[in-house]
Amino acid sequence: MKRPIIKIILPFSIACILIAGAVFMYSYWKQVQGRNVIFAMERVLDEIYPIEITESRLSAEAYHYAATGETHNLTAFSEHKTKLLNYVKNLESSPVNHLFDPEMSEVINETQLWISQLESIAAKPFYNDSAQLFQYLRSPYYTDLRTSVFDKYNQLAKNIITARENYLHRLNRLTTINMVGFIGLLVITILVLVFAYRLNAARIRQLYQLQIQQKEREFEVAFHHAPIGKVIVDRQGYCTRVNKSLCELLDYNEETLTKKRFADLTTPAEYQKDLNVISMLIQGNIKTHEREKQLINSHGDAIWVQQSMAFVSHEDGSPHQLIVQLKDITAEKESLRRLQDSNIELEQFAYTASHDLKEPLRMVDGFMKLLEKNYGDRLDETGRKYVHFATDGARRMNILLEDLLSYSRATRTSGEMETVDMNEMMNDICQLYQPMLEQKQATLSWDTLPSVSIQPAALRTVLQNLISNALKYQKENAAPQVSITAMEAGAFWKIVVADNGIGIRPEFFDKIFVIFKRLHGKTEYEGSGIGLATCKRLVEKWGGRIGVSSEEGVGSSFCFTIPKKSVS
Amino acid sequence: MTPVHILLVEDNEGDIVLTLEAFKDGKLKNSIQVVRDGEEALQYLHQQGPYLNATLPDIILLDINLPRMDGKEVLLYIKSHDQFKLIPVVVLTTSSSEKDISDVYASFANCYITKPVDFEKFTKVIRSIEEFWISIVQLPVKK
Repeated sequence: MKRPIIKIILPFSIACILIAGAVFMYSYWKQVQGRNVIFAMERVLDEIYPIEITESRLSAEAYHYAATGETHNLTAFSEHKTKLLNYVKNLESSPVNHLFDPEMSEVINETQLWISQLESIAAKPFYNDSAQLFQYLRSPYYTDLRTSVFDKYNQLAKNIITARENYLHRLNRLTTINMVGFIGLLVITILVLVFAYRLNAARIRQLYQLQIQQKEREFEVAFHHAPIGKVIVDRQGYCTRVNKSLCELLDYNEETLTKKRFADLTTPAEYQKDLNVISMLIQGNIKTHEREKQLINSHGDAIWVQQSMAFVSHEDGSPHQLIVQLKDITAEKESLRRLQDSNIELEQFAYTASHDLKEPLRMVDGFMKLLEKNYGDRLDETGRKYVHFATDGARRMNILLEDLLSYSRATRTSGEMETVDMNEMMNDICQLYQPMLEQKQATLSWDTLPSVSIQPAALRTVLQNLISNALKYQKENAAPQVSITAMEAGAFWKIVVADNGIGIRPEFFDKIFVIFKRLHGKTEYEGSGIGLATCKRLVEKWGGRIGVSSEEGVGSSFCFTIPKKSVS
Repeated sequence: MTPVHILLVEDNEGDIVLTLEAFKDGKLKNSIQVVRDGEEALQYLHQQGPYLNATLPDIILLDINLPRMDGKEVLLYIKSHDQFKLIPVVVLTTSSSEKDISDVYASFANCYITKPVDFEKFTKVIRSIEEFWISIVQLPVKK
């Protein structure tokens, strides 16, 4: 089926319709014309009979006048003559008189001749000599002329009737032919159009089919050469189509794999999870679903994959096939596991190191104290000073180890998430700090704080660290004022711990959160440089952020955020 | 009044000295026996080997990190033994690991104490043990 055929069909059918229209118009025109001719013929016929009658009366008036000399006969004669001349004139002007020549011309000529004959009779009074009149009337010339005129009239009428019959017949035939032609052309046009429509429909169908084939080929290439495993599962649970990557991933050949059920590629527990996902997909709660799962390859080994599932539905929305994409994430899993292992090892190391360091430290402290207690009287001032330095060093090292432990614990602790009323927690903390608050004449106040979903121990550690820093880093002899406020910030609660302490210069805002980073000498403010680093680790672990704003000499505000909806 | 018998299971010589030192100034008359590893502790309880004439202790102070048989194993043995399980066991150790704490309580230790580094605090802790477990708590009568 080539395009040119389609191309000529439209002009062809338009031409057909135009020709059919022309035929119809022609037929209509012929009809109108024919009818006019027939009317004209009938009018001629209508004229002929009055002519005969009028002519008879004209003759009668002429004879009467000639015989009697009565003037009223002459008047009537003139009237009939005018009438007759009018009729003749009508005949002469008839549009169809050429059809009936020479009879028509002869009729007209002879009528005129006859009129002139009668005129001559009327003009020649025979009042006293009727014999002469009758003789004249019986003359062969006169009688012949009279007979001839009437014969001509009859002949003409006969001709016209015959001609009308013929004409009507011809007209009918022509009309029939035209109608047949018109209808025929219309039928041909309709047939051609129907043919064209079917041709076009076939062509469109073919094009559509080609498009589908093209799409199918594209899908085939995209499906087969995808770097991730793909499988199409039918409603019976069989893997109807699988791609190369999946075959390689599971180490099956395509033929074996397409005979397997999707359930055979994984463990029963994993498949149960898949079934739950599938029922969610069927219910339409979700369009696609992704999860990590384990596949079992041909050797029975487990392989970690990232699985994405989606349904291809029928037009009515009912599920048709399941498309499953499976990405090998063994390497990612492995590196993640290694990273986690090394993190755990590192934390374990920090933990045991700080722990094991405590053992000898206890010996140093214990025996220095025993030395002082049991042999103190035998030491001089310098000796006792040395002992003091040693025990002080041990004390500070103990603080350092304690903080280091809590830092290493910061991400290791796996306490349960609980809903914590921060107001209650602050009450607890306030009680804990009561002696210190009294000693420093400090005030610790807080607004109405929210309830948050969090690991209580982590939040408590952060709050205590920030509060004890606020109490610690104070101007000499100043009464510390620590206030805690909360505000909403989108999906987070923002908690601010503000103090009226010594403040921090802006260039140190970031550094203070780095482990072991200290801004002050040991003699000014004691500390290990681990507290804020621990806070940062804890806050980031629960998905929040921590930061500081401060003006030196005026005070600092530490703010941290807590997600309203817990991340884990 | 009969002296209270205390069994100290501890391998660190320094800790032994410090513990004995802390007990020395105590109000109560006591006799402390020291064993240096888990096996010795079991021998002592069963009055075997060098401990034929040993007296069954009223309370046991047990360290966790011990050579050969560690503290947790000793604890499990004592607490699953019909006779010894009545003896209160105070686990006294350097560790403050959550796992150690939960393990030890799961094996029916009577209490768990982390040794403070500061000697004064350590002395206070030993005094509290003495006061609580020996003078406050009513212990079962030994058969």
